[in-house]
Amino acid sequence: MGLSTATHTTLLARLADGQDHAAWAEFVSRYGELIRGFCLRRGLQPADCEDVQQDVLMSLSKSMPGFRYDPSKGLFRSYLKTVVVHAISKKSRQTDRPGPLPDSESSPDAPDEQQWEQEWRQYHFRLAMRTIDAEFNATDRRAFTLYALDGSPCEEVARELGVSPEVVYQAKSRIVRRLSQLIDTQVREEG
Amino acid sequence: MKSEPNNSGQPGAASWYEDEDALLGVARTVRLPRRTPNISGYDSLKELSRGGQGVVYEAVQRSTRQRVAIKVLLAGALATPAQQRRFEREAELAASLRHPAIVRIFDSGVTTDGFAYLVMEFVDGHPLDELLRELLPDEGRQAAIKRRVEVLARVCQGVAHAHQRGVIHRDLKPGNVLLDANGPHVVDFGLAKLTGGQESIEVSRTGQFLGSLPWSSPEQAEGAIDGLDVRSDVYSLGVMLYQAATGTFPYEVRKSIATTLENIKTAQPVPPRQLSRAVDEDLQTVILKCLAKEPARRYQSATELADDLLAWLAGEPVRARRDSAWYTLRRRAKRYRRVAWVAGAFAVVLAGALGWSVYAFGMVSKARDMASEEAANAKRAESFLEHMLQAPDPKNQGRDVRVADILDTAAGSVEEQFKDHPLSAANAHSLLAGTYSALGLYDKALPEYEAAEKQFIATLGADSDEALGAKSGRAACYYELGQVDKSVQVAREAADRARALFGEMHQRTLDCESVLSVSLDAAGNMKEALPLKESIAQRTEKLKGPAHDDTVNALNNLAVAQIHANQADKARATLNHLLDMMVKAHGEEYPDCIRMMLNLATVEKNQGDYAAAEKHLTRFAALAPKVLGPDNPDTFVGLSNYGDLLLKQERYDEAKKVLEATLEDQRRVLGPGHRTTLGTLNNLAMACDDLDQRELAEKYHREAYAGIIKAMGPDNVQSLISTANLADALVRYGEVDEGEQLLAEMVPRARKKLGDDHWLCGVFAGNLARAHLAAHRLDDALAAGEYAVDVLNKTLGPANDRTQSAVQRLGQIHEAMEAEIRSGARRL
Repeated sequence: MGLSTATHTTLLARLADGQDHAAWAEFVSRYGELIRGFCLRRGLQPADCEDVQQDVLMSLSKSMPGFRYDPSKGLFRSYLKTVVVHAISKKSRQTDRPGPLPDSESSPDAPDEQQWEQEWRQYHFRLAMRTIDAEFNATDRRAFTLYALDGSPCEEVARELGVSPEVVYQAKSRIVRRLSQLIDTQVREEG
Repeated sequence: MKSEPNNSGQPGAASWYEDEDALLGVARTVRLPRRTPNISGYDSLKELSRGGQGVVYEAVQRSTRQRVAIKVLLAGALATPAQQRRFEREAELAASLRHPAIVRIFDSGVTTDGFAYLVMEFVDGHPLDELLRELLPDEGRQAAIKRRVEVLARVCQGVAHAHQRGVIHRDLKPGNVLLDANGPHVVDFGLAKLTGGQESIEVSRTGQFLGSLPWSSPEQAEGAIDGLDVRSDVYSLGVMLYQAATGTFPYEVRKSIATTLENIKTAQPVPPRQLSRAVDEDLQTVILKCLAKEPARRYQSATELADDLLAWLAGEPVRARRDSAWYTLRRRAKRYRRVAWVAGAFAVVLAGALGWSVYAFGMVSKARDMASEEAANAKRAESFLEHMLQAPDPKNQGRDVRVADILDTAAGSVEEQFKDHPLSAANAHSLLAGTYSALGLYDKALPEYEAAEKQFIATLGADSDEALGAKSGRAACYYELGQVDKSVQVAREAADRARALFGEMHQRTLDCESVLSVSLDAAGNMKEALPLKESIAQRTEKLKGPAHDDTVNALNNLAVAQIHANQADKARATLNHLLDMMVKAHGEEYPDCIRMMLNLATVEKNQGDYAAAEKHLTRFAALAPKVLGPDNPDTFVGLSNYGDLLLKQERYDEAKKVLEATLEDQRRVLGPGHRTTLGTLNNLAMACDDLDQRELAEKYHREAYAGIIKAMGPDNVQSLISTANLADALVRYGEVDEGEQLLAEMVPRARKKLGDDHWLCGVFAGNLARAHLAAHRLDDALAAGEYAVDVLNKTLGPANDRTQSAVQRLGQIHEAMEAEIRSGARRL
């Protein structure tokens, strides 16, 4: 596992401080979307997703000051999931809808673990894309989007961007390689 | 705790972000709309799932209030007008599909923010991968496989429907099949093409196939998309079938993408039977045919595959193996073996009709294994027969009469065909003999075995395995033809020799001893038969394992001997043990299991435990039409036995109804001369007898008698029983002379065939005594009656019903004699 100097652990440490508002904003921006996405996957209405997201962040904000994250006790990822699943089941009890939700003690292979895993991956991707946005120029990024993600033919993309197909191909390869490195680091630091 | 992010069961690289395809797959889902889209005409959208292709929502169609599913596809696919047109065309085509196993498409369009969507039938079910991922239970594995194959057969029918309308799926996998209470429903028809784009290789390299790769065909792995045809879908179905049967993939698909692609293109699938013995050869053949690397060697359509799966489920020959007509014949023969096995319908008088001719089949399969494994000689023989059988397809040529005709032609030309190859000739004779035996044509099998034995001795020597095999086959024929003394003698020779040559654990020894043991049994030599059968059963179980067919047969044979030796309790215990073992191995819905119920019921019935018998018979009647098929001969046997049980309980009207209905079906399906048809006729005659419908009873008795004598010869045990039944009825109806004559002629033959100490001879002699009494031939009656009481006392015991009625009859004879003495007609 990552060393304690890693950024992620540092972020948690800063939250534990209870005073660092920038740290809190960063935390919300990182995990808010993840929590909301998971709720959507679990079949909650968008309004309920917002509620759960708020609820989770509130309870985390209460527990984070003084919270000492101990990697030996388990992954932060699992800890967060437990909190979220709990909040969802609380929510569905409130709204008295037939919630599609098992309790938090579901087995690791249950569907919600897969959904959680999907959201977690997207979270890592979004986080890494921030760096990509900073490191690559607009043409490279557009080439990546059209060619690698939309599946448009290489020549077509090259024509649209006014570059050679080789440039399109190179841009895709470099961005993919960089994404891979970034996410690898993030995962190591995650604890 | 896991130290690495979980890969949630997705096949692929160790870490998703190190694998380009997986990484880009995640990237695509991130770009899907987070906000629920606005789609006019549909309310209450609720997100159900998100995947690489798009997001699926549950919604309500405003106009109809019907619940639907809406799939919003990835952005980008419709970037150009040409792509949009293509989307519309494909969506329209997919919407034209109407089949219960295909999720219907109602509508399609583009959202305000430019995402293409499809509106589909809402299926409240689970993806099939949950079913296929479940580990196959150890218990009832075969039944579990069957259930899965049933589901996949319906999937095939749906896919076939689409193929016939020009729609290829291209991305068939368990995740694209939803299973609900109504069965499976395939989703995303034609969608792979919609979202796939034109650069096929790129598509497969950039993650389109991430979740689908393990089910891709070799053509897909090569990168073809536009060149794909229906046979690519057949391949994917094959992978699913493989999973259904084994719980795993045909080759390694969980390492890197490159390895997986390479495996799909070149790796030969591990034969399913190597992974699970619960998969039978036919199913394995079907699966491997789907998984042929070259499309030309696969099923050429999903229809063909669906047909074969249905055939397999019904226990019929599968097309994949029908390439060989010889195979078909064997399958048919196997079916006949089963009929013979449970001919318990004759149990009206005789419990012991179980277990006949199983042994002969052991010989056939032996001969066949040898032929398929061995050198050119055996091959030549088999291909000769295949050739003979190829022109007419036995399956389409009506009943076995035709098959027999073909065999006759083949038999006639063996010598000519193999003038210079005596060993091939021997093999051909042996195969023909085995097939005749399996069809029950023992009179024709016998000369073939004789010829085979002679030629094996000439070429390989008298001590060869082959020669001994033919000898014991010959013995089995004598047994079946009722020449018990001869069969004991020949089988003993073969068994002694085999034991000396190969030892007691050898298959040949066991086969020979098996024939010997049933011959001894038929000869009434229980003192020798019983311990021999016990020993055979023990050794077979040790050699083959508890649930093996051979073990089952050996135990079944043992139960028969126990019945004959009047050890009904032991027989019942043996059969119960057997049934338990088989249910554990195969599940209850397995043909041999329910056949075992039938046999068990026969014993229970004969013991007078009608409640237990009825329990097993009604269970049989409930399962048989499904497991064996409604027209299966064994299903009739069960119904016929049920009728007999009702008779025993004096529920004559019910019995008559059941038996009449069964008889009609049997005559239609099996023909009037079939042995199980005759068994039902016999039982029906008894029912009419008891209902006092004399004319009808007599008619049925005569028909049964004539049919049985014709089918089995006069000395067969069942013929003897039928003779006794008819004669006894005639005597009771006042046609004393004819009845008496029949019995007087039959009883000595029975004593010769079965031995003086056989309980059946006691029963027959009791019948004869009654006839003599009715004809006022009291001295003859006394002799027959005393013999009957003597034998029955010794065999069935003094408390048995049959013994007691014989004693009563003897009393009547004594009374009649005293009356004559009193009247002066007889002197002391």
